[in-house]
Amino acid sequence: MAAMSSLPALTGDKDQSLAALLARLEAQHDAAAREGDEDPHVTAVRKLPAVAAEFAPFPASLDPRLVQAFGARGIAQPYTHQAEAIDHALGGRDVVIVTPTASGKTLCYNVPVLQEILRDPSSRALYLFPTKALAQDQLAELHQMASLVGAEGGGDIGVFTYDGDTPQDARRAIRTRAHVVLSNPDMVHSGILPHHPRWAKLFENLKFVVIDELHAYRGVFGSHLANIIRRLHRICRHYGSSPTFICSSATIANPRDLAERLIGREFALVDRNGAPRGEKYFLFVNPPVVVPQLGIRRSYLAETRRVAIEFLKRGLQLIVFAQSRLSTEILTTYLKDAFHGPPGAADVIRGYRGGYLPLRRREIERGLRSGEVRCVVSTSALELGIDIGALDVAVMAGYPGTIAATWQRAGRAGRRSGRSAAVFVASSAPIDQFVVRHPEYFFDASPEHALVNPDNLHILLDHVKCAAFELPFTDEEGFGTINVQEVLAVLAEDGFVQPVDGQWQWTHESYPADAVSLRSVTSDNFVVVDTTDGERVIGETDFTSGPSTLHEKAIYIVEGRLFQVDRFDFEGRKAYVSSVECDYYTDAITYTKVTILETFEEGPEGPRGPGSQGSGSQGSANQGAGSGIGRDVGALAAGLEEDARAEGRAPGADERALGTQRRTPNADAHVPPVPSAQRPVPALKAHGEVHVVSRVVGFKKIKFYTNENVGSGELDLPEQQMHTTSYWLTIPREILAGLPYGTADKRDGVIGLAHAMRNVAPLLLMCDAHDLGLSVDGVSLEGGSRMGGVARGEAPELSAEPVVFLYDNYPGGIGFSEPLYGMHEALIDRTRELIDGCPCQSGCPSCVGPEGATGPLAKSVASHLLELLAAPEVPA
Amino acid sequence: MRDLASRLRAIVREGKRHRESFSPDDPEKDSRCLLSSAEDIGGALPLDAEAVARALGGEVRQERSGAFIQVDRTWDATDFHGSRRVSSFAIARDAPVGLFDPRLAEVADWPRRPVFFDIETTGLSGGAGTVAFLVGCGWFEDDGFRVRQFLLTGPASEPAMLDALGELFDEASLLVTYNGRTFDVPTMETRWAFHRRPSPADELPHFDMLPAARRLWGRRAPRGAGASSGLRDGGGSGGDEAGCSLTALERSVLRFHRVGDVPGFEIPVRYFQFLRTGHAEAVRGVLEHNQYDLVSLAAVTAHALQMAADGPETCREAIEQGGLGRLYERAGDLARAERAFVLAAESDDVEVAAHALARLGVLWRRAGRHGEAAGAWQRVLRLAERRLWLRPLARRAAEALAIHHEHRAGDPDTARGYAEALRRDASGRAAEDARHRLARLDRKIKSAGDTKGGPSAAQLFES
Repeated sequence: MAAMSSLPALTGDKDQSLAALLARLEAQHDAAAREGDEDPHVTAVRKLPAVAAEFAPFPASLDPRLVQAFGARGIAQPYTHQAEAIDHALGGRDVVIVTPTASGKTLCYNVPVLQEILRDPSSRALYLFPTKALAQDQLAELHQMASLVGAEGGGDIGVFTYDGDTPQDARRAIRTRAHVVLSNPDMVHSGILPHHPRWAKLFENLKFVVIDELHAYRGVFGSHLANIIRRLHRICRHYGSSPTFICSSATIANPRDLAERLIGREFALVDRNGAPRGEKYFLFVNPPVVVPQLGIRRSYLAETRRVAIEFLKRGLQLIVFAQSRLSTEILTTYLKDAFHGPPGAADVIRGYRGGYLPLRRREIERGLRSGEVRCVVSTSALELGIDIGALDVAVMAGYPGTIAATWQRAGRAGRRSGRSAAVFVASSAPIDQFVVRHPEYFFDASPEHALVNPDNLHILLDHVKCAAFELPFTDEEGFGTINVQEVLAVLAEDGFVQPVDGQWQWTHESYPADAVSLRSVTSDNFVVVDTTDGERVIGETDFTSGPSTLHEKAIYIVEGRLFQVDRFDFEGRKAYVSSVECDYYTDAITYTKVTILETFEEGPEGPRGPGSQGSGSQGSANQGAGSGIGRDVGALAAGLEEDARAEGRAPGADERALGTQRRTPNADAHVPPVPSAQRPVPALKAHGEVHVVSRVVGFKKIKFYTNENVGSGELDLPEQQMHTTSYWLTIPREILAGLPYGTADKRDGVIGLAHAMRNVAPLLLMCDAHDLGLSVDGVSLEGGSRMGGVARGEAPELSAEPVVFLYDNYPGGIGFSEPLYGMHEALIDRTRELIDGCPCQSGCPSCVGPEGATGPLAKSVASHLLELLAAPEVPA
Repeated sequence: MRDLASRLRAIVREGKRHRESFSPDDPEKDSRCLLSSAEDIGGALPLDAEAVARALGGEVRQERSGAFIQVDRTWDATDFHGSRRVSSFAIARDAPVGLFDPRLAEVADWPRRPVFFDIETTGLSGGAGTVAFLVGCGWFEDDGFRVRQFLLTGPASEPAMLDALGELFDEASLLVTYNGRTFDVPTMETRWAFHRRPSPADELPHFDMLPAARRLWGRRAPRGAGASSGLRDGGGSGGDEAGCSLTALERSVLRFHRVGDVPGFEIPVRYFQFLRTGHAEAVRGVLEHNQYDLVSLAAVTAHALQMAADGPETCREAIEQGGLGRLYERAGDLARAERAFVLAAESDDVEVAAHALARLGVLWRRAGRHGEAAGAWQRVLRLAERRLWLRPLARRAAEALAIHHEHRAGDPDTARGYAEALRRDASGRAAEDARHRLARLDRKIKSAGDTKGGPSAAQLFES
């Protein structure tokens, strides 16, 4: 434990003390590089130079009252990107603005909106934020602007939030009086669209729809949002309005594509930032290995604490990002413990996460802005645009999962002038180890693509119901890219709608929006009931992961408190738990069987051409779009290849998506090159529709800290089934047969390879590790794999031609499989880099799984396999 | 690859199977087979509006904005509805509507043409997808009570129907509904807004009979209601006890018993079936249900207004006398309120009597008639003996008597008895108050040096 010390006052030349510390770390990094240290402590130091501001004038047409109001706030001229965005919006062109943190994005949409309201006071605007807290945060700023404009003679401009917290008696007034309504997708979905007649005034006069934090809408949430926007378009048409969309996004690879796919219209892109930026350092830190044989490193939380203390001691203000609520609390405790002072002094170090009461959160945010709070430890809750001012340093405990999120968190430190720093401290998770050892992957790559699949049939079906409830479909109407008439015909069979008078009338008593949860594919879930003292609900778990986390005798953890499941009521969707004291947690063993229902595409002959059969779900992609979009928005789910095609590049140019250059790993030495005669050409990669059956068959008890397996149990739980989409890799018979290893070792190698692929894939897809399921040759590695591989003996023999499935872990799929298919080569390359670049001797949790769990040769076999799989294909 | 439709079917069925396994009592299941399933399946027959209109005894109204079915039915003035002659339903021009709703006291013109209004909808959840597929209006004409219903044959019917209803509203001087303030009128406002039309109900005075009925008859129907069950056609008033449902009142007040009435929960399903099959039979019962609702609403309203005009002396039922007392009291007519409560207090119905006495206790105290007030409270206590359900009233009585004896009668010993009883019976805040009172009384008793034994009021709560 660090010596107790008190914090220096927040005075003096912070810039200088930061520079001194950075110089020391840089020197450490350089020395390690000179000495050829293969596992340096500081793996990267990058300096991003300062950038000067670029200004442009406000459009000449701007209302002088607005110019006055901005003048009063000290804004004489907007930055270039702001001026460009305002110009597009006022010209009625849908626009998406890519803005780093603190570059003044709110001005981009507030100016056109206020301008329009000044021009025509009946005008209305709808702002959507992914969370209620963000809407609250923006409310204050917009209020201020509205009253400044009002003071200039702009009249009374009503600005209100409308969400689940809005009191019932205030709602009616808001519906008629608000010029600007700040809300969230959930509220629009269940509270506004289904009640659109009450909002007639808004919809009749809707001029702008602002969607902030666009990048947050990916995966399931984004697929839902795209359908909500389709519904919004219908309602606007009904009331005769056609609003312009203004979207702002953090840096992702495909902001325009995402906007076009979510909104279903063509967008202008503004991505040249005119805001100034001070000099910024970015450092990567890898905790040193403490047990070389097992590849075990020093705890990254302890390492983060050390790093944070270094900065704190020098009087710098910082934010520390942790990966979970639990680690947030642990780090907060560590840092508070490390400093003492007069009573209350520890309050300069605060925790921040979802679950804190709003008042407390506001207090912490204020403290950060004023400088009273010196250090905040936060979950991703502070990653989105809550205003906390500009801090000196951002420390990330663990890789945030995506390049985009990492830049966004790093952006929490940094002023428009003056120096700042961001530090990434790697955990031992495979993704972390890959990134920390391949800094160029992070620094030179474009950030990830945000993927959505609005035509996931489960999601689509729910929203077609909602849309039919809101406004009868005509028998000629479309809905997005899919043939909605066919959907309605199926709904009619079950009495949800009925064709009458050339329309589909809603003929069901239900309120369909209630049955849809935007944050998951189905709203079905399990609740966790604590029976320790009376009965109270302490948590919930989505339907899919219920059996594996809530089976009988499972240890369920909430904020560090341990509970054991006493009874799991599958039918009643409840788990009854009671508080326990124990030193282990449980990890379920799940058997998963994947059956291929239909292959959409397979390679290596290369991606399909425009005329080929193509994927079933996208088969009808282009009919009904009809909105004059030049680019093939409808087929974006198809992912990167379409992207490349649209931009006139050769198919298969994955490099842009992944940003890294295809490099031959320098590990060639120990694997002999494959003779070309041996190179097979059968199908390697494919994607399509699959049927997944999984069953939790048992569990292991694993001791905290040591991860020892201290017991196990068998379980008999019902099967869960789903249809979804999957990418799969078939390891050709010839390759497997040609490997100079025994069967058991080959099996270990395949499992190790699958383990590593499963960890690399989310990196490429910009998705949560949870979003993908893994199955090898029809038998799962789930459960075991998260903690590092499957125990020996649990894995069955492999067939002559094993198949690795990486499937969308949601019924119907949410669009990961086809892009993954498109990224097949990159997936193989990155997996190879992960395994070959790992300094462990024969497997560790960071690559193929821990030794002992996967077998002694797993790493070598996997590496060898990858060598063969990655070999350049025979020219077509 | 499976085609889109079969994939969709699998998903829809999956969801349905799951829902059903968790709501085995789903009433929908039973009512699905109102018609034989063979008739129901077969689906999209074009609905023959003319044939439906003929079968229902109505006509198709073809307007510029669309077509819908209109069904008119007249109850002759000499007909009976239950025990009442239809001619007796007509609302007197001087009926005291202001007693029930002070806003209406200002409306001079209301008796010109009161229109009774009731709708049947495709669901109770509200929102844009909830449609009033049947709207019924009733009004008096020289020869009797006319009911006019508009039935939608599909979404294209609605604009024309809304226009026609608008015309009817334009002629009306007063809208009379049962729970219309929370259900029927907001639902229609949503429909007008949906079709981007101004709401003709905005400027129309509105008398909602439901709150009036609650005030008059409370949660309990008058004697004779029998085993009343079933909420009023699922009007969505939720939580309203059966005693104040329109059907309960029509049984108890009008002695009218419906035969083969369509239960409220079946109404949407029947309409959906009508849309699927085009069979008028599916909705015939719904139209009848709506007609009876309107006629009964008119009769109950007339009865309530007549009763309020005539005063408590002519009431047959003590519960109505008590209700009238509350009505007059709320309208500020304290003399008539007192007369009503005094009459109700003589009732054999202990609950009615106890509540009336409690009101009298309050009225008399406010009038400075403390002795009489204390007498009323003492009668409340006697009635509440051994009747657990009257305990809340008994507590109020004991509190009033403790106050009375402490501050008015200057008898701290007696006051102490009541306070002691209260302390033992009450909990939380009330018990806390009682303890404070006891402590104060003890100080008073001590300083007075008077140690007479208190009354045995403490026993009042023993039972």
